[in-house]
Amino acid sequence: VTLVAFVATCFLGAGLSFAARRLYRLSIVIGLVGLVAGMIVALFWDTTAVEQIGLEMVGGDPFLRLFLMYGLLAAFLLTLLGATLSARGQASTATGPAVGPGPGLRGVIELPATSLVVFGFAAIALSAASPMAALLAAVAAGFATLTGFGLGRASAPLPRIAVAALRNLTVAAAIGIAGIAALVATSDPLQGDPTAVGLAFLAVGAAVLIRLGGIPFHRLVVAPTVNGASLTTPLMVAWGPIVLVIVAMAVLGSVLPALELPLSVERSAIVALAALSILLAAAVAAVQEDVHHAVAYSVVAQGGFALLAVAAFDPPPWEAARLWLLVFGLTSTSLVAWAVGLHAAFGSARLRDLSGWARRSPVLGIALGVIAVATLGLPGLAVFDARRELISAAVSGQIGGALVVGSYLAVVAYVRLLWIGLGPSSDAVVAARDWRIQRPAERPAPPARGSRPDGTPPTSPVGLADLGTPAAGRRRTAANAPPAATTAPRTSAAAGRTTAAGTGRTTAAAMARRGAPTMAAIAAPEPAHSAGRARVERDLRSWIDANVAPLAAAIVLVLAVLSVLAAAGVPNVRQSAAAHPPTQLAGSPVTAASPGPIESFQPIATP
Amino acid sequence: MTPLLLAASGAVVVGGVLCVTARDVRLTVAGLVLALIGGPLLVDPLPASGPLAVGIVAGLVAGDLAWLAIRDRPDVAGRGRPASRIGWLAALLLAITAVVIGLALGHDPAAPFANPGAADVARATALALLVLALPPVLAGASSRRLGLGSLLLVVAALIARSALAGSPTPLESIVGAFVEVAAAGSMAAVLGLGPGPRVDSSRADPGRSAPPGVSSPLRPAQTKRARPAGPDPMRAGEP
Repeated sequence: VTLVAFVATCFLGAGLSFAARRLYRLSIVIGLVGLVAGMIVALFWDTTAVEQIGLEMVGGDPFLRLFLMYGLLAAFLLTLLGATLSARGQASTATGPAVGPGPGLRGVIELPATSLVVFGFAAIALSAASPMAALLAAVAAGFATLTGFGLGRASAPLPRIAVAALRNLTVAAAIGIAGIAALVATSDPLQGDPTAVGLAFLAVGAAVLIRLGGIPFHRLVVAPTVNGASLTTPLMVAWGPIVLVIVAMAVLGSVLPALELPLSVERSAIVALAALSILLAAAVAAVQEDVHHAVAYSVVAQGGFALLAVAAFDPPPWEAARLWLLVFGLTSTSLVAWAVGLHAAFGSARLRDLSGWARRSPVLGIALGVIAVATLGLPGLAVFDARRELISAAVSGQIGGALVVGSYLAVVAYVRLLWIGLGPSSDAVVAARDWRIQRPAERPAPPARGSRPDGTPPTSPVGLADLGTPAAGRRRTAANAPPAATTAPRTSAAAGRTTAAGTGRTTAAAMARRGAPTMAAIAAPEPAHSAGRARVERDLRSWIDANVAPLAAAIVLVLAVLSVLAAAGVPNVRQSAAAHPPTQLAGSPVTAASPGPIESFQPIATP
Repeated sequence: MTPLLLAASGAVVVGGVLCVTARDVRLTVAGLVLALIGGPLLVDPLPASGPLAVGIVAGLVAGDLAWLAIRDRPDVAGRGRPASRIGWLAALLLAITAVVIGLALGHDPAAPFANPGAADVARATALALLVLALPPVLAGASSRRLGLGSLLLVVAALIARSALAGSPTPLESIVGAFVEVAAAGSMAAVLGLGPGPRVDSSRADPGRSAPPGVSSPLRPAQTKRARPAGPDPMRAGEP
């Protein structure tokens, strides 16, 4: 299995998923199958093989295989989360109008196809021997992320955000292409004009800064997360830029050391912007009142480390940077998934409404803690050393030490979120669905959002133990039976069986009191020819419907565990990240139109 | 410098001028396609037939996506104000000036090009496209113009890459074609194909209004005030 097979698998899966876009479930199923197929192909990719396409050489890389597998798995889990949340309208109040025939999260349909295209281009970018081919593939991946985001939009502010993102993306692509082309053209030491090289270096740094959403271009990252805008956001703000950063690092690391130019002013400017992003964004994340904004600024702060990797080119911190970038992609995805899951479960993204969320949903609380560990690292974890190495490679002396200490400012945002989560439960948290795994027959009807049981104070210190008692459940159910027009159809199957079992009389009475269809009408007999299939489908839906919240939390936890595994260097992430550092370019490989050996820059070794 | 190079350069510049100044959508898209197809020809030696064909097909696909994105946009419908306020003649003169400046810059004799003249032409053409594309991208007066300007900017960057680093290899040509299609696809997704409400870029152009029935997130349609129930007090006493 080689690059061509992987790219063909990805693009075929993306095309089929996109073609079936109007068939909501089919499109998601095809996309999930495509993601699994991509993972399988990546698993069997022969990383030692070097093949020639035209005059270009492409080859595998152990890190590339890990990157693709982790990335596709994260996209798979995120799609699963979106499909779970949108299965029964759990997320409809959280993320706006529906996409597709049923209520759903924005970007669910586009996520698998976009992911496949992005990782297909990423495979080209990280396996091509030519810097320009790699850069163009990274640029194409960036545009693909915006395509997914644009197709998944569904509410008023998003078009303006997408238009602004298009502008930023295009400008970053243009100056990135020009900068790297200029660097490659001047890679011969005889032609290395210091001014031209410095400007080209700055252009590459600016392109990376814009793509990462570093300050002052942070709106590119913050704006798409408004109200949990789209599930494709992690692709746009993390995975796409990561590919560009790796390519930029490789080009700079292969060109600039040979020129022996200090470039201290240019490097200082880029380091200053990176430090500003790390410190300021972490501070801003700690004071946000909206969960999505807090997540977005945390992502911006993490992106600052990637910018540091670009600034340190002599020699490039290859191992630390690639490890950090992989962890950055995974933690960003996990954070977005956590925020979307929290918003969907409690119906609000404002922290003042989410007091006590961790007491109600301990799984989500554990997930946030695990994400924090993966992001910040603990002594002994690979990511802990990687953060320090990235800073020390770019900044030395006391400033570097101060930056190391300051970089842990990010912990404040996580602690604050957890602290609020452990506080007294707010109305929205009390009124949220039960987070215990339960059979559909035992499931109480979901309470109306914003309401609370009679006699419950506005901020009730109700703990999990109280919420779990049958008496409390019955009381909440009776008081908060949902409006018939919105929830009766989707609860029909479960409610019907509940009545038959004799355990849901309170639910039935509440529904009847609000004018819902009677149980007899709901439990009307079905045609014989579709009874079996319908029963299976109904049972599955009822089970998912009854367990949407714990399922979503479990998926978020799996994503978080995936992040911490990568942060710990499992499996062999450190060794893979250290493999195939950039080789120095003595001439311009892009002008090598004649047959013969073509010099490699990354990540394959020159045969 | 070969006649084909000069013809390709002229086609790209004229296409760029048409793209940013034409009143008619069809002319706009035709200009864009001209620039997209002419761009890969600005190298010497020419790419192999395979990558060249991919580039031409990519130009057509990108043009089709642009057509899908802008054909029914509020600021494109009809033959109202020109897309560019300075008009086609001024834009053309501006582009020609940029070409002259680009050619006057000369080339580095040590540059590793098979044909330095080709690099000069490519650089001059890229500069002209840059002059045409930057105002709509940076000023952002209209979402449609921003999208078209973005595509032109990508073409300019790809041509500039040829001017700086010589002829692309086949894989580069193919990936460059993918970049054009991806950029057009993102423009189409942002401007026209998404399921949400459409962008009303006429906000920045007060002299124009969205056609009836087009919803706008930036300027909600005016609705009639609901009449209170019961008899109209102004018509009291009428039969």
